[in-house]
Amino acid sequence: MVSRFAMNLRWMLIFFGFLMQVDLNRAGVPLLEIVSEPDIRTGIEAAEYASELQRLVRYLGVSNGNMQEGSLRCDVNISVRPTGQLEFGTKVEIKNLNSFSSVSRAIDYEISRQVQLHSQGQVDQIVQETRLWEEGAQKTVTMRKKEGLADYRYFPEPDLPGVTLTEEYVDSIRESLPELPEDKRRRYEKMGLSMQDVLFLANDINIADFFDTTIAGGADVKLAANWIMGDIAAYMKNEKVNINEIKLTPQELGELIASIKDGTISGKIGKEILFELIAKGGTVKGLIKEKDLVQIVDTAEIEKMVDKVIADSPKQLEQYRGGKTKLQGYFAGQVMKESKGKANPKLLNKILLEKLNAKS
Amino acid sequence: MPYFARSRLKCAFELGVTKAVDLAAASLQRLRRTEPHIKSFLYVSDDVLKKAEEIDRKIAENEELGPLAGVLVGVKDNICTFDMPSTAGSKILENYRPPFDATAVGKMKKCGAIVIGKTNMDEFGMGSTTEGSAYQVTANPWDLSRVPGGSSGGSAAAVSARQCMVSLGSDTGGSVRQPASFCGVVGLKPTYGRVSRYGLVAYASSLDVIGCFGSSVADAGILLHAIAGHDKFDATSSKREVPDFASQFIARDNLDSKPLKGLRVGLIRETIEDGVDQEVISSIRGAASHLEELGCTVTEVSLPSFSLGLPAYYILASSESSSNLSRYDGVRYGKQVVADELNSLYGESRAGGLGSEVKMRILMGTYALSAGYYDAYYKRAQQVRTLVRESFRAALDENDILISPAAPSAAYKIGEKKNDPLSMYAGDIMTVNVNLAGLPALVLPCGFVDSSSGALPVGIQMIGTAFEEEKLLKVGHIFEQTLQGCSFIPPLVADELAC
Repeated sequence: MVSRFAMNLRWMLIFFGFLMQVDLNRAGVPLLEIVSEPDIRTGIEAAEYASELQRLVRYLGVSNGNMQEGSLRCDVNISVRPTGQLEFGTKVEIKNLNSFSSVSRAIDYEISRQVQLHSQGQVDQIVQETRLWEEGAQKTVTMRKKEGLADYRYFPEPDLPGVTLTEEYVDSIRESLPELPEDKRRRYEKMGLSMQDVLFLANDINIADFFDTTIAGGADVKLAANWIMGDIAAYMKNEKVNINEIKLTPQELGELIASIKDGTISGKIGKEILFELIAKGGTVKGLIKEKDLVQIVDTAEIEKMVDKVIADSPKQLEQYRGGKTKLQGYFAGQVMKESKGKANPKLLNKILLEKLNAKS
Repeated sequence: MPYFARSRLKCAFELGVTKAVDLAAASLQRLRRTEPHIKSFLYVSDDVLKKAEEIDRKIAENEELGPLAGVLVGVKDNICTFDMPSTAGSKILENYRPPFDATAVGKMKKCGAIVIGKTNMDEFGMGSTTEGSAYQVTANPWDLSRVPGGSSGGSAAAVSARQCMVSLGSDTGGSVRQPASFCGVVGLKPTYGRVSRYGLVAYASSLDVIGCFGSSVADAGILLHAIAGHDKFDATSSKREVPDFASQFIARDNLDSKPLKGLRVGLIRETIEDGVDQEVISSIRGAASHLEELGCTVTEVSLPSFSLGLPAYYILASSESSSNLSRYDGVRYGKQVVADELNSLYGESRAGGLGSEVKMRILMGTYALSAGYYDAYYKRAQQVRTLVRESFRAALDENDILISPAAPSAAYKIGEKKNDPLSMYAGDIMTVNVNLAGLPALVLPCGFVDSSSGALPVGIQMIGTAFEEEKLLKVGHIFEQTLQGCSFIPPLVADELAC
């Protein structure tokens, strides 16, 4: 549960030796602080909560949510208590958490540190303080002892009068909200995608948008998910680019899937031109035409190629007919090579088997 | 033409009766003569005559004149002026020149006003005598051994001694009204939010308001009209329409015998009880009789929460000031000490730059806001504030205006209360409640009390419903026009003005 939001504006001091300057680059940039109630029990839960908030701000387009750049930061407060005790123990704050995994690990470390102090009868060693997560040592260390609540001295800011939001305004905001992560996941689930697909696709708003646009054009849902999660994701990972940086458009991915489905090109060819589309762009139709990649489904044409390969390989034919039927693969490969990869594999195999097994 | 009837100044210019430059020269000359005794200004502009000449040029060339054309204005030093220092009476802002004009100043200038200089004040507005200025002590023009009141003592004294025609002050707990009373001038504290606070050095943001001084109700009203209105730079400034306050003023000759017939006036009982100077009470009772003669029905009303206002005010104002004054860290503004590290830079800049009264209020506010004390002090004071507001609302449901003294006494001696802050704070009893309720109030001279060194003016405070300055000014104007046998020009300059 979220207990309160705090908004503030930021500025900071920069020191160059004896020279002090005020950096106002972030002045006027609003900062939203979201404080949650102590409802979280483990490090992984906290990291998941934080990453859902990151997804949320990215879905809403209010922040890039990058932790490394400080666009999203997370401080955690941890307290432990003996089983059965109602009130929380003394809380300790941890700062310097630069990734969700450090959030998770720092919390788990701090829990075990505090539990250990409890079990050693040193509860008084747990003091209200701010600790720092040390990524190298994988532990928390004291940064500063808290000055105590007395030093905060919050009171209502008289220069900012209360803002009255009309119901219409709130409704208009609500109506203008995009689909939020949870809704998107539910929708993907209903489409019949696996949990793994759902989590992957909905994790990144850009990928989700890509996927949504692809299927909006009529592409098969499962095939689109497979292409994105498979070859496209692999490419992005290798080249360290995001989905908005690749040249492939959702429309062309849809076209590619359709072309394979209707047999215009083979899956193998599809994969080949996919990388071309990602790296250089262009259209599926254009590439097929340019490279003459239309699958050969003409029986007579394939027969001709099969005949040629059989005629060119008398030795292998003899061995095959002598019982070494494994050589079928060799023949199939040769024919495929002859067709420059364009022969319909099913048709090719059917004709090849007929020819090989034919009594001559 | 009486020199201070600002409402007729523009006419006089246009008719060629007088020249702006002559008026300015006369004011400057008076200022030069009286300033060594009064010390109301911290800074006097050196291009007043040039600006007055510019007005005369406009007259000669038939150009449009603003409603304040050629009017010489003193500006309290906590109101930012981009071409003059603005120190708020504090060493920590010594030589600080804001890069902008406060909205109120900008609006006056647009109307043709000439800022003559910056007036002295208690540091950051914290004080009731102007002795709290880090620079100089201002004297009361009526008796140079007495205080002019505060914190806008410089602005009040300057108008009283006719060093300028009108002036701007600020009123957080009475800082316009009490010095107006002490110096025998008109002081107008507008409704909270009526005038933009943009460019006013913040003391207590929920109470602060820029106010007007004049030697007549009309002058104060015309000045308010020039500076009032919504400002996008102050989110608390009101979007209400600003009426032309002076348009409904009726000249004395046209008044009928009971011009205020039917007006219900409530005399606040708690303000004429023990602890208030007897002569002050007599003056207020005299003023009440005068209002009755004008046709008002005057009844006593009780505001039961009245006495709670003072402690609540000092807690709230100190609390807000402890936050507002944290910006004076030696980095963002003004004076900076040389220090080895950041914390001593902050600490030493503040220790050397802030005066003792300011430090005391910051400490009190810091204490009141601390966890553990917040509920007992700040929160409690806010509850009292609600009570005060409600009791005013009830009293103003029954009455058109409320009246009271502006201060429990006339001006006292310089140094008399310097080492007795509680007694000085108690002097604010008449005014602080009005700030807590955010209401408009007009103070105008209504009589005199005797002192060893001669007569001292006494002011009556008229309190109205929020945003009804118009009614206060109308009543005040009639009151002033019909008050017989009183001249509120201090002897120091009276001879000079008579001729």
